[in-house]
Amino acid sequence: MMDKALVINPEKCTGCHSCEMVCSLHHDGECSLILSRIGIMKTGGGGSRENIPMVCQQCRDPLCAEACVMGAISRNEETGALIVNEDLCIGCKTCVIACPLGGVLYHAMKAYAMKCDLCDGDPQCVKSCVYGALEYLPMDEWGRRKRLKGAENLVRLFDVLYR
Amino acid sequence: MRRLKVAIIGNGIAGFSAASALRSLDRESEITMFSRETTPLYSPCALPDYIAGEIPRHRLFVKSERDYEALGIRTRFEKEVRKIDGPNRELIMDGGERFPFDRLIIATGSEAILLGEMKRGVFKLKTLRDAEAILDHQGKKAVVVGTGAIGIEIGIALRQRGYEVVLLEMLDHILPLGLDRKAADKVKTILTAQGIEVFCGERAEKVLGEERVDGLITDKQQIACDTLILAVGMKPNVALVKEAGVSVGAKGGIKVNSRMETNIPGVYACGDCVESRDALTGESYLHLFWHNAARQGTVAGRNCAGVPTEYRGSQNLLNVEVFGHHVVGFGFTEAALHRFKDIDAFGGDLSDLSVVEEENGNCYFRLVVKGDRVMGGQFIDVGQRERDVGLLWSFITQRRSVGGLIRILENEALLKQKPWARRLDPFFATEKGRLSMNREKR
Repeated sequence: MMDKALVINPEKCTGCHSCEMVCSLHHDGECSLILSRIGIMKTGGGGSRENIPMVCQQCRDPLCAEACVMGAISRNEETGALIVNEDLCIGCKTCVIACPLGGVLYHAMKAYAMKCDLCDGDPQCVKSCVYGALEYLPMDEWGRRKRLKGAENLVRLFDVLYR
Repeated sequence: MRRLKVAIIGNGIAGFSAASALRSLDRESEITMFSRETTPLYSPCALPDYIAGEIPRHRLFVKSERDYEALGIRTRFEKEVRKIDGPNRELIMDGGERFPFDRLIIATGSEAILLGEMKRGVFKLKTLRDAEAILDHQGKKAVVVGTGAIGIEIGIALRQRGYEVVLLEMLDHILPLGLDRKAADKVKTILTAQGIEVFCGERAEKVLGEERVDGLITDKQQIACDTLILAVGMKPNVALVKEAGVSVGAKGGIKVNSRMETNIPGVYACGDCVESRDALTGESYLHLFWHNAARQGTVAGRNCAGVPTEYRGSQNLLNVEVFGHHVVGFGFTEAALHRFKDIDAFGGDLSDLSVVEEENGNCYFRLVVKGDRVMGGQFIDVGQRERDVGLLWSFITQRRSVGGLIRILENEALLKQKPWARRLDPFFATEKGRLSMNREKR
């Protein structure tokens, strides 16, 4: 369980919104920005434009599940994703407010909370991203990359200091 | 090692969170839960929705009996604990039965504050039984005393059931703990448009009627009604623990440290019955909210299992749906800041207080900022931006300053830099710096 994670590389994101389209298409059958579980946050302007895909991080100690007055948010043991049980949710939006990342949304038409469920272990947004900004990686591979990045930074630092 | 005998009094979210946190760390111990309720854990927050007829009864239940079995929790429902024998480590039941324990978790919760005696037609709303009593009652006109979140929600629910509804508030505007005057007036407009009468600045004085309620006398008028709902507030259930020698604080809740331990070793308390540290000010205060109870229960359960865990502090949250309009409030209101300005965290100085306010039709956004710290926020119908509310709310818990964030977002150069370079600034992060370093070496 929980051996894979949705990894975001903001520096590769161009802000094309294709992940949002595919996400809403997969879950609700229509392409819509407001029905997408993933959302691209655009900051700055002009030359300093940054696109940051924001999506639920499947926290280990989730605030949304804690705030849910119906106990409707629980973890899927297979994928490790936090799932909203639509039969239990009463649409009070407390989870939407509780999440500091904006990872939970409110489905206005169906009147319940919705969030990334990792598409039951096959995230469609990852498939749609042609730039490699979204990846679905095994945990150890993700950890290896992080260490590699840290090492690269260290190499650069030495480069700067002692060359 | 002998198996630990843990007793939990109370079957609310705090008690259940404590039990499940304890069980996840300790497979061996014997957990017994006592409750005066007859049903598994249900959500009192959803009771107004049940009264309004929006959700059926079975959907109120958060857990089923099977969930208790799966966690290995022995349940003793409909058992009222009469006395806690602290020195002998025993609980004394209704009927004289004794139950010895090694550790005790008190999660007795809170009860509604009542005004005078309960006549027929006078209700409170805290338990499922209260909700069912309201549903059984056939009335035409209801007066709701108190306009906190519960008062507003029950008023709306009764209106949806076809009642004529009057809301009565003692203070000068509705939702006094969550909203400032301006936001509250907007909510009031929404309520009035739906046919709910709202009277502010009026104090309920006397309930009329012999056997059943006929009306209510306030300090300004007399209102005829056949249903009276008391939603004045909640108070912690501490009668049981007071006798046992557990210390109770000035606000009326059980005193606990940051590990949810009471003054008696091995006795923990969590949920609505405790007074806890405010995340923003550090003052001890009553925070009777579901999310705080859930967190406190988890902390108590983990500490009970021997894994030290600190409680990060309570936050208040107002979150009500008023006829399709979403009203959110958290932290301090501007009025409350003025009221509490003498406490240590503020030092009596409110000169750096500022209010960020935006308004567009029904949409309303208000942020109370002191210095560079978010103190509270009030939002009505912010739509997609309600996702951002979470970020602001987390600022309160983490006591983070907004200044830092604004500085980063405003500074384009800072945004462009690689994180590793930023730390080295200003000596060798830039190309120029690198060049100068090289030159020095030569």
